[in-house]
Amino acid sequence: MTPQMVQGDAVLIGPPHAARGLAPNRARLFALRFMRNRSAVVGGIIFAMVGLTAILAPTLAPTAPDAQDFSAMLAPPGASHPFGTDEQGRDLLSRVIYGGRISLRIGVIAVCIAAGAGVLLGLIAGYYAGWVDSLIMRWMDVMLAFPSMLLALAVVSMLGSGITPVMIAVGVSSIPQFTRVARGSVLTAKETDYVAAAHVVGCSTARILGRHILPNIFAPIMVLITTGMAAAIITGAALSFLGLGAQPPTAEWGNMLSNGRVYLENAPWITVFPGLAIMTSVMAINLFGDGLRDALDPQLK
Amino acid sequence: MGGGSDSRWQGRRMSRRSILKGGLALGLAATGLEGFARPQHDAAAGPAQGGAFTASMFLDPNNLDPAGVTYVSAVAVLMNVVEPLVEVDQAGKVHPRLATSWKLSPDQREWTFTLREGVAFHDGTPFNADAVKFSFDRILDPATKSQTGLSEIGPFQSSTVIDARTVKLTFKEPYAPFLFNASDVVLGIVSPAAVKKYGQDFSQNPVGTGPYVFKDWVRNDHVALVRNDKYVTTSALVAHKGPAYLDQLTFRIIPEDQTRLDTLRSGEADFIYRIPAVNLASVQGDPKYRVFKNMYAGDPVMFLINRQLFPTDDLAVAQAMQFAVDKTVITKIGTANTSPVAWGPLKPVVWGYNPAVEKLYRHDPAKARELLEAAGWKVGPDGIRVKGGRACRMVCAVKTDPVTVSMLEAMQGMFKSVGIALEIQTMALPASEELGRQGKSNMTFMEWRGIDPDILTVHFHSKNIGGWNMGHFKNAQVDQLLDTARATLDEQKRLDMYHRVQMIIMEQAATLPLFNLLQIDGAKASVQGMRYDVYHYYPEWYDVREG
Repeated sequence: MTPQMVQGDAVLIGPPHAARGLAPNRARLFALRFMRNRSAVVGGIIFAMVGLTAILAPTLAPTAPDAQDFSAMLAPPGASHPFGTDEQGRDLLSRVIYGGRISLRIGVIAVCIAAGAGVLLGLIAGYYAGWVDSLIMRWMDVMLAFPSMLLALAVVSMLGSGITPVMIAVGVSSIPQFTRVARGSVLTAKETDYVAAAHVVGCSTARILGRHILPNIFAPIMVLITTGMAAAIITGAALSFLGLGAQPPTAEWGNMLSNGRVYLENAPWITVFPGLAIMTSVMAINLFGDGLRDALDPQLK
Repeated sequence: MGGGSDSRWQGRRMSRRSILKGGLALGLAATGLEGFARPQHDAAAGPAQGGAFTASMFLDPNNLDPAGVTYVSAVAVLMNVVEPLVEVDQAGKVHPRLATSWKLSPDQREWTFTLREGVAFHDGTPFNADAVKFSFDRILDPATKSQTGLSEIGPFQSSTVIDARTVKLTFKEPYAPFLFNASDVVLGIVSPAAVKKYGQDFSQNPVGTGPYVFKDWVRNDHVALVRNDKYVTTSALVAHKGPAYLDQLTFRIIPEDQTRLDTLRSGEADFIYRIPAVNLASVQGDPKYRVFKNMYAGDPVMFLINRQLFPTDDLAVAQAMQFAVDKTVITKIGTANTSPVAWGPLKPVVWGYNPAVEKLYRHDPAKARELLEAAGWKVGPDGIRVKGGRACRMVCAVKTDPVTVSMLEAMQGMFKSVGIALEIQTMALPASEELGRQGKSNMTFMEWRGIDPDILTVHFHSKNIGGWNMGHFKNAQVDQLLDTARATLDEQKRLDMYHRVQMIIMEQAATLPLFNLLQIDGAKASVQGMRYDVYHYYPEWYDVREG
């Protein structure tokens, strides 16, 4: 996302204080553009369904995720177990449904951490410039020098295994992307007339950042949040696959894949369904994110 | 693999009597094992030399100095490079190898070995009494960093060269397991000149007298051996004389089970160590392959129970765990039903195994609840039992291995049904073992190889707390019986003591045995002459050739 795009956005939509009265128009414009994008709508619907399924897991799942039935070990998909069972006779449909709770939670919370810290650092760096900017951005460069998976592994090895460390690890490793995008947008926004005007009327720095600049960098950040969530779900699953995330017997898509790989030849359903779940959610989020970007930033195309 | 018989290994001592007498024969018959087959003599005319074989191995050898061996994979390689003083046959009888005869002094503290003539090390150094003295003495040298070797020589004190062909080994006290241990390559004889030449690097450049010469080793990739053209046959148990058949033997290191199996299917490998149990049926049903199944001697796959850590310090809890677990389910998960369930701290193929342990426990959750109830553990609101305000919650630190974790998850459910909560903490193997050593895990995964019941000392003698006694088991009677038995050469007396030790260990519920794991290897059907040695459980490659 370059400053030009944001500028285009700002020009199209207008500065926030001036635009407030036009909000319905702006929203309608956005909705129109988004709805025209079929794949984005489908992605959004699938994503909403995955989210709902996770929230309603206790109602939807046929059994508890860790209920063992040693008389039905490695049962193939069928009437009593639509997705089959694993080596402990646990119903895979239930585990996939419950697993979504963990995977989505990792995605949402990790992105919140990354966006929260990243945007704040980006605002500060972009607005104050000078040595503050250099300090923050060189630090981000150091973090970006490591592949995000490696960074996440380092964080987990410091904090120990578990779902919370994985959320923190994935979140921390995506902070630099948010910082860079936010800073770039701020650099453009702070040169605009309405920011200059805000200065003139004596607005405080916090007010200028919060009320005048932040709303104008909202679009690129939203796009980054959606794509970031998809990436976070994958990284979270990868860490669980390596045994660093959800601990047994918690159902999580990544560790279900990991446990099932032993039975790939005899009972492929153990890995196929969690694999499909990861693929479907990530694809849906990405389609939705693409649509969002196109609708918010028509000049990007 | 199932249960992760991974890595470490140690203390294999054996007794020939054991193997032959009760143990192996029984084990073989009971489990329908094959692969202990004698060498095949199917070629009237001597088969031609030639060919290069590839064997896929499950673990990097880590250290190729016999005295420094820590992993079984190193033994599988070294068996072809280094030779021991004696050898044990399938019936538990001791045969000459580098030594042609031996005798024990009347006070049972001195073994005198007469050595074979005309043998030379790969580097040209002659094999003689000096080399034997050197090889044994260096095990005591802290610089050698010997673990397995040190545990196998027990109370070894010193060695004396009597003449070029005669050497005397002196022990501080009688040591019953010694002659059997002397058949292990860990106590094999190495070239003194090579050890001096390589120094610390000898662990990457082993030089012995065996039928294959070490060529190179790329860590986590492969170990290559080439034929020793000057080899003098020392074993009485092999099918031919003179040099081996194969030009080269390469061990590829492929820890991932499925990938290793694929090397056999694709034809890249002629042989693979450890077929994953879940895939056994498909390999076994295919005429392109041969399968070798052996119940190697040692511990079953088991979890040592920490009897000093809450809540397993309570005998009722430890015993309830024995009744709560359905071992048939665990065996199905761990081995796809290829191995029999286990009830004691030794496999039935070990001499001295006490079948009476099989009567102590059975799968009976009601009995488990009854024991807990009687000991004052009352069911709390969340289904977990509570006594004196503390909930019956235990932890198991375990390596991140899908099969092992899956076995534990199954047990977690079984324990929960009787009111015991188990938390599984997955981590790297060394980290889990460290927690075991420190006594911070209620259950510690264990598997060990060894033919002599003296391996019980490793896990159940209190002197090994902080070491491999990861259950921190401390029982004065067990300590005393183990010490006495190891110094007793009278077979019947020794047997009685080990029988009692096994009963005490199980009555005290110091371990939760699960199954007696089989080693299952596979080869192309055309591979001939694979010989399994009772002590090492791995094939010897001396007689092997393309059929």
